[in-house]
Amino acid sequence: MNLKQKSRLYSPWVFHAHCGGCNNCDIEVAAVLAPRFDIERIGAQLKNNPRHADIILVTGPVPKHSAPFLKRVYDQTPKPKVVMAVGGCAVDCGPYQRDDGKGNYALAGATDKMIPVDVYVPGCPPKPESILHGVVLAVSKLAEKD
Amino acid sequence: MGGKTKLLEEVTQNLTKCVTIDYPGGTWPGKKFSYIVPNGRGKHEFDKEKCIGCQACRNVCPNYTISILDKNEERTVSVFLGRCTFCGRCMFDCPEDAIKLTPQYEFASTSRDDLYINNVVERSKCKNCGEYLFPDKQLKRARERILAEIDERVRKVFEEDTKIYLDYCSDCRKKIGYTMNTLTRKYY
Repeated sequence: MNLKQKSRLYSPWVFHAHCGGCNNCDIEVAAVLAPRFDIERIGAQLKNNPRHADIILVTGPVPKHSAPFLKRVYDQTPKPKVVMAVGGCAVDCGPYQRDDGKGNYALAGATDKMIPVDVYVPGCPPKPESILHGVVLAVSKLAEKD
Repeated sequence: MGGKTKLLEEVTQNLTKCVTIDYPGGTWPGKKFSYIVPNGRGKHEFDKEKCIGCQACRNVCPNYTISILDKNEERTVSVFLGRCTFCGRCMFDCPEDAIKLTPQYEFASTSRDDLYINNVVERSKCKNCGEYLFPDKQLKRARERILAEIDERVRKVFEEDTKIYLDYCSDCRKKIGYTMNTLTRKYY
């Protein structure tokens, strides 16, 4: 492991892509950043620019309106990159879509229909601890891709 | 006065001691996984001996999380964690207490297939046409429950009748019902 890889794994920077939904997952993500569940103990930090990020954290069922932006964000992040789908909406559109195959007129589908997803974090909303666990999994995935 | 002193105490405590919680949380003596709250709702767990495959959890689920697949001999009850809101209604409404929500919270995974929790129940076969019917356990359990509530005068006859009836599907019962010699019997 050279210095570049080591520095990447010990400080993975996270970009939070909010794609619709009820904002509950975003509140949990905010709780993860706060001192009680302190995500900075594993070196992760929230960044507002996808060009600086290693991990893209997607929340919400992706509406048709924000699908192209999500694709653009994915293209903008440098390799190696890892995508996390946080919450029931990002994994399978959750309560916004029935399971009968008809779909919702406003939604473009789950996150893994737009971009390849590496880590799934289910829950509605996921507990802050399970988001922490997901970030740890994502870091191990980064180490594989490096 | 009391409130203000309490607040001051809490502020001093927060300044002196570490606020950040340990990760992962506590562990049970016998169990592998860690928990945050002992009775918290997390990953599902099936009791494979108790589950009769009656679909009560599927009918009660508000989020279409639980689906049921019938394939020849097997009926699979599968829970997809990705859709679940962990409301616990399947746990409360299960007639056999077979499904439970454990306080396990670490179920993030790298593949979508790991998010399914399956339970397989065997189905019984119709003696006449060979079509597969409800699960064996469900028929047995339904018979027991009816026998417990039915009137005493009818119970014995009903018990003998169900032994013959339950092996056939509803269509075959109509076709060959007259050969069973149960319809003309006096009940009391």
